[in-house]
Amino acid sequence: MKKPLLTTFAFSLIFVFTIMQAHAQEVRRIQPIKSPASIDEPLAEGIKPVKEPIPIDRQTVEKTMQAIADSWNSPDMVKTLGKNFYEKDRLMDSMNGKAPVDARLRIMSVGSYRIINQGIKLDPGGDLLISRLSVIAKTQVEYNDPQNGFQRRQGEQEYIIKITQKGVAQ
Amino acid sequence: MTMKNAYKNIVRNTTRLIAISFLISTLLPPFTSFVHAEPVETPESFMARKKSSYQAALDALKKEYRKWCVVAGKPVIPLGPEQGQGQPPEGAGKLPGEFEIVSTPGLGEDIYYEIEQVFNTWSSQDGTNPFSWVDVNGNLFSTSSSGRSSSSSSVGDQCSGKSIAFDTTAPGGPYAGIVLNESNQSCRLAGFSYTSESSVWFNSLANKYQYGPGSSWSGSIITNAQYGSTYVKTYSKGTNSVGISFKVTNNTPANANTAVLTVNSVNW
Repeated sequence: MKKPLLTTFAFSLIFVFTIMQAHAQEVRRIQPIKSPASIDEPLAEGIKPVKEPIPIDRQTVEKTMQAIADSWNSPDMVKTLGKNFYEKDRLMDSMNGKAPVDARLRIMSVGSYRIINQGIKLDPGGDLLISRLSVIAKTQVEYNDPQNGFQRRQGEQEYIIKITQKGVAQ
Repeated sequence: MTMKNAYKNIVRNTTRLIAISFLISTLLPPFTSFVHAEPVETPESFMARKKSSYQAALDALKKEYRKWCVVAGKPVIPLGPEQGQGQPPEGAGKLPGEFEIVSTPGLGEDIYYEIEQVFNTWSSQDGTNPFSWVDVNGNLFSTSSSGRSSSSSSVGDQCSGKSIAFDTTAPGGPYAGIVLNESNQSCRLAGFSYTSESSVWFNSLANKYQYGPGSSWSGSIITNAQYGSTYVKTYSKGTNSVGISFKVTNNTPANANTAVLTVNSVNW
């Protein structure tokens, strides 16, 4: 009489164990990592891609970054933002509402840069070399607070910029 | 052997065979699934693994930065006078530790430029992107954030009644976070791509959002939180525990891709 009882008990244990194993599984979902959309945007209409990348000299990149810093918090700032700049209007609204008048952006150092994509646009006045670059720069926002005196906010950003040069295209 | 005994034997043998087959068929699947089962990672271990790998990458980046981007022999010292002092007039002598590697002539007429995107790098602090409307509205011009970057220890509760917007389509993870400091029982809000300092992180999904503890804090992880609902949750670290009442809304009239975290109260 004992044997059937033990067998039934053993079968029950095995059955429960099987059910538990099955419930321990999980279904994993794929969550794609988002990336900047602007990199995939075409540089401009009528662009002829270059066979070999044409190097952009460092001085040009540094001058561009300095010009970006100079125009920050100035009436010309909106002109420096491309048409694909994310939340351009919102940024300008925030700048107008929040940024102190004397706030300025200082470029502390320009780090590495690389050409993301490049192309040549034929133009009667001279062919244009259009390059999209990623530039790493260390910046500092400076302003005077009425209560707390001089304030600075340091940061390091990656700038995706489009540079158009005339007369450089070969 | 009678006919009856032969029949009994057949029945007994058949029963045994069925029992053994059942035994094997039930034992084998669990065993094989046990052998092949991928270890299930907990959210805590996932966060810890990610943090350690990001930290390693950050350290490597810092090394590279110092190797290539810093002028030899010159330490990286912030430009300008100490925070809290008056700013000296422009051109009144060189500042200690100053280095400027950028010359500032005009671009000329043959070069045009435009900015397409600006992102904070991993080594940058949260809220310091001068081209992010979230940072401009938040920490960039908030003098209270200077307490975070300086050695000041008391920053107080900057969460109750405060909101922070975060972009649900931003690259690298649309996150916002509540940063808690148990030593002075302070709190502040942060928007970021990724940071190890957040005590409670918020991640926007399609029609819901998720939140959970980070940075050595413990508490519940919710993956199907409803936008617009107010939640009261307790998070703890060591002997400290804090009750937080908060709400996340999305689809603001101005932008369908923005979520807003609002903290109603923080009780230590």
